[in-house]
Amino acid sequence: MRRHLLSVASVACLAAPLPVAAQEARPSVLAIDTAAAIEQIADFDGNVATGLSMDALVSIGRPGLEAIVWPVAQRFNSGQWVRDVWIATLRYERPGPVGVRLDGGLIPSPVGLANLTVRRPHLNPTISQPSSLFAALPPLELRAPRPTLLGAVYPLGTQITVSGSRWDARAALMDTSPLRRRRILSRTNPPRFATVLVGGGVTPVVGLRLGASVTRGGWLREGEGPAVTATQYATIVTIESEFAFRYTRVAGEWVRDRIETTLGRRVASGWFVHGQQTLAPRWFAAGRIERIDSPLVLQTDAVEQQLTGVEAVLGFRVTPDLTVRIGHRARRTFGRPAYDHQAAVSLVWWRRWM
Amino acid sequence: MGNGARGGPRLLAVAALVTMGVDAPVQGQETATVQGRVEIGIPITARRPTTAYPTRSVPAPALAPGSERRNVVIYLRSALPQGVAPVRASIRQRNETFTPRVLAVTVGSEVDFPNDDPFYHNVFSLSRVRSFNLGRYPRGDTRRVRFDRPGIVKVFCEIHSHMSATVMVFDHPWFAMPDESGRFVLDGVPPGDRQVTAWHERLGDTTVTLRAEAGRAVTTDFVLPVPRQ
Repeated sequence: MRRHLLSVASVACLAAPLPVAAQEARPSVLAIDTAAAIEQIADFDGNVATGLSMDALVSIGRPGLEAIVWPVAQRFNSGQWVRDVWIATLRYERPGPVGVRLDGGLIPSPVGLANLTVRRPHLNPTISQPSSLFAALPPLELRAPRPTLLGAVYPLGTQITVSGSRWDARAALMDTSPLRRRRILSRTNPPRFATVLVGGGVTPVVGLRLGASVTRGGWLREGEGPAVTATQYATIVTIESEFAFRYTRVAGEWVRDRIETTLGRRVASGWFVHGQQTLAPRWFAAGRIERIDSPLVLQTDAVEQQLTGVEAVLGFRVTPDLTVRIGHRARRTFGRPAYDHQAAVSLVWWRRWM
Repeated sequence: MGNGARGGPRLLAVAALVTMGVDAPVQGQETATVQGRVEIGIPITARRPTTAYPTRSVPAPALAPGSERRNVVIYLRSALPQGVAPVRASIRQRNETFTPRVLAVTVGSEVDFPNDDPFYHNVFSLSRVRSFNLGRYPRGDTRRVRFDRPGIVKVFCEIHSHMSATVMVFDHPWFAMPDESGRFVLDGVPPGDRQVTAWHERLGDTTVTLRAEAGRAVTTDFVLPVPRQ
């Protein structure tokens, strides 16, 4: 036994002294998290559709300077598969009393709140996403592409953000109209439009932020419609707010698009409010209401049409990584007289790997 | 003596270099002391903040990392439950970091979670031993959690995915956390063949068996993980 002790002690003595630095954790060069969500939606006519999304967020760098790539694969309820890269950006951050952040590349959309908070399934309080991101507005220009109120865009561009403890301001220059989505891996895309954004917000108390932004740029290129002989422009104004306290989180966004067409200026507007209430460590309830008003352009006239929707969700957190949600959604789209009802169940898995 | 044993679900590398010797007798004649030093043999990486969608504000600078040796818990394995006095401790939320990141307490202890940051955190745990959700509260406020069952409680922030902490709850008094230099002492260890475990959240468990003799101190050093031979 004593011999065994000596041999173990010898091995211990052979161990090289360890540098002090090895005793401290260092920020990881690589950061990866992944999310996967599957949802099954059934309407009251018995139609069932399954959606699937998988993504990974990969960051390489050090605090202050990182390269971020966000590849995504989605299977829509229609059965169509889409693969894309939503973000591929180089980000510089300098913290301080007046912090500075600079993004360049394929950047996260600088416009609006929905683009900021719900695009990943584990961050979205409900199962579906706001209609303003995807629902095409009624035709504004005869036989021309239909815009969205404020699309889920991932523009090529650059954005600078400065902020203090109670305020933030940003400016961005990008190649994509927020009304028309571009996908970098798509074979067909809308034209590029130089688009400028300025925005900012105040945080009067912790947990409450009020923000606004103005975006200006083209949305329709000459030749995209039989009557379109010059680039048409749009101005998008957003007002957004987030409030959170204790177990309650509420966020809302109002958008107003002033859209130029060959028949004159049209205005589309919309808003949504969604919230989440933690009921117990594992249980939460969430919901969203939304509305979009947009004109339907006829030969010489236009009539207002509305989209309205409401969604209610009950969620259960099986583990910190896994969440099950069930929900009900009622939506009345543009020109429809009645609501469509859907029941949905969703399983969301998210994991931070390093 | 000196046998390495494996344990723990997140084991990355298990074994230990153990030096054992007999030091000067300690005061208590009925019990033994186990003491030693912990060293981390490989660079440990910490999660850093990153997100596709940053908040509209630029975040504050990160807290400078402390000694990783302080995130190791040394404890007597398979000890029978004992009557232990509860303690009061705290895990602060500062610069998007739980400080300390690892805490060891006795059953019945209460842990405060004060928020030192000028923004919200949402501390929660879904561990079987203790699940809770403290909600959001501003700087200067605190919430308290009582831990009534032994085991490991993983703590997270719902808002900041890179934040995590661990509370280890013991129903016996034989556990210790090393100081900045890695030194630890387990007092009052019952004599006999004992298994002593060094736990680290990334490096897993490293367990050694030693003989604790009444009135004596046994020295056992841990290098985590054990270097390849």
